Amino acid sequence: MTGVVLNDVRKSYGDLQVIHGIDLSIDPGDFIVFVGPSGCGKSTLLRMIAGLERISDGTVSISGRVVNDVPAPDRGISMVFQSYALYPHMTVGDNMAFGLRIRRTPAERIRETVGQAAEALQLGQYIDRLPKALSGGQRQRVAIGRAIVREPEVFLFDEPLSNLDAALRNQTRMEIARLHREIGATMIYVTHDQIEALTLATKIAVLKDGELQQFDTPDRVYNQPANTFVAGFMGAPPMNLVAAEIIAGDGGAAVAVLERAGQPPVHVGLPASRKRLVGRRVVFGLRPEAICSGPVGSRPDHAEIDVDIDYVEVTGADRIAVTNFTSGPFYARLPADADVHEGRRARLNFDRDKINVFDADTGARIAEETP
Amino acid sequence: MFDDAKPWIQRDWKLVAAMLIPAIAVIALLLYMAGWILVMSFTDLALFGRKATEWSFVGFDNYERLFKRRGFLNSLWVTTVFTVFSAIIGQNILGFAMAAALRNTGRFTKSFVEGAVILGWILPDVVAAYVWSATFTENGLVDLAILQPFGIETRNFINDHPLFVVIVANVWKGAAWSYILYSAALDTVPSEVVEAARVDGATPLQRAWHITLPILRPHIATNCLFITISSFVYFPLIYALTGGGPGRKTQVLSIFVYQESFAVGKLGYGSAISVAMVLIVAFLSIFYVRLLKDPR
Repeated sequence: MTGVVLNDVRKSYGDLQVIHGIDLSIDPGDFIVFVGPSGCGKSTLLRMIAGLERISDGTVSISGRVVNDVPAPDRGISMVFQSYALYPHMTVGDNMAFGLRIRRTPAERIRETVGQAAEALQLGQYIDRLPKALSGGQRQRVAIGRAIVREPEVFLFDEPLSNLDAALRNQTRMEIARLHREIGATMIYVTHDQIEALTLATKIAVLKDGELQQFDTPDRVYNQPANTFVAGFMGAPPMNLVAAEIIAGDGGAAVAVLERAGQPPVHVGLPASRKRLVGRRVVFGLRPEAICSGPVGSRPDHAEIDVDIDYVEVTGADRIAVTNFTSGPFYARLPADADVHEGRRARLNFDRDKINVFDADTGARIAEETP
Repeated sequence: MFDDAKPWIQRDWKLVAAMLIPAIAVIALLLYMAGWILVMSFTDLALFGRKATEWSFVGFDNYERLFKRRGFLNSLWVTTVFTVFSAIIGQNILGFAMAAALRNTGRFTKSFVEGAVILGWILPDVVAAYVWSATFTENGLVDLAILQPFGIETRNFINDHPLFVVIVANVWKGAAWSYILYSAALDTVPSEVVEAARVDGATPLQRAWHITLPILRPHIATNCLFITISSFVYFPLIYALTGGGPGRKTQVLSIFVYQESFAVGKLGYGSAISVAMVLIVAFLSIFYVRLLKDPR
């Protein structure tokens, strides 16, 4: 199995640099998701690994071999494109066999390999059909089949699900996850959909403006974002970000003064592990689901706030309350039976240990102090 | 029949009838003219002399003459050579090659070449004929710029290789059409499909042969249909350049029709040649339209 290593990879078009030196080390068998907003360079980066886009600077290595000057077909990769990119004039079988025929694989072996892939992807009965006679989901499976039969060391997926409807997207997502479990090959997957990123990835690379923001497990990217950008990008609704000034309270404990729009600030006492923040201006990050309704009660680790509920969105399992706590929207993901109503005042509380703290100037995460 | 028409049309039959009058008139006129030619082709009608007024039906005499006299078969051969080499091979391949080559060039080069190519296209045939005449005549551009410097004996190409000259002139004149059509067609080939073939290991030549050309097949058939028909019945450039000569060497069917009908004055015979041309063009069209369809 094969790992992929990116070493200070850069891409420029003329004077315009779009990828600014990315370092990534991808372990064999990993499922890596590149995620980020439109124009962040994630597709460009994938195409550079594929060999479809020249590498302006830095190196890309696959299995320990620098592949900067190796043509795409010789890199041991297969790619699944967003538009499926099936050959429209070829049948399903010919689409899958094309790469093998180009490599002069014996016909007997092609038949066998293509047959197996078609069966595995439930395409057996469509083998003689043209792509235009297939549904979107079937076409996507043909594209995946075409990638499988070449038995690549690394699979590259460029937003493969974005042309499918929601139900099919879920189903195909699970199929891709199953494929990864069965084949165990290294996979690199580009998406702007954070649900795909969180569910599929063993590790997520979050990109913004051609720079790597965080490269970590889905759990850590979600719960311990490296900076305010990652915090705001991952999760729907996103992490709430609130500006705060940390002052010294009784006995030297850190107390956060949370600024509110048009209302007096709220004071929140912080855990002992946040003592060194005193005197700094920071940004608090709080996941909507870390917020509960009602008073603190018997939970000493929690802090409470009173807010006006602007809007309640019922999503079935949850009620998303949008409040006026800060100048922007502040979301609380509450149980469906929570006692919150539009236009009324409500008391919310949250676990102080779940607060993420970021530097107000750089946006970078400030880790908890270890005692 | 009008079930899926808009309700207001269904209600008002008189309006529908009135609206149809122009279309019916045009179609009727076309059918009348085509019918007139067809009827004339069975007569010995002449442009002048006694047969201009006292003509009579002669059955299939004119059609027999197509195959018994030298003129028609010669012209059919000349037209076929002219069409195959100037349109199907010349314009088609040159147009495609230019479209493919200019896809990734800078805007200046592209505009310059496009301008030059289209200039040839929009230039009136008579002017183009003069230009090519000056190029290929004794001591013309080719003689002075190519043959003389290498010490090769100069010659009058229009006399020695007349068909070659009209073919070159027509390639030059018509390549713009194929270029424009193929430029647009190449834009319809999805770049991801070509990239997929690249990842699959296909060389540029294999990508062109296995991917791009098959995807472009309907466009190629459309283009061939158009340029074949237009070259098959082409008249002005050839007539202005050679008048069909020397002898009958460049006497394509359209010039043959013109001369038989208006110089010799045999309108009946000219009509028969026209009918034969229509049949040949119709046959070619059916061939291309079949090519347009998907094999499956």
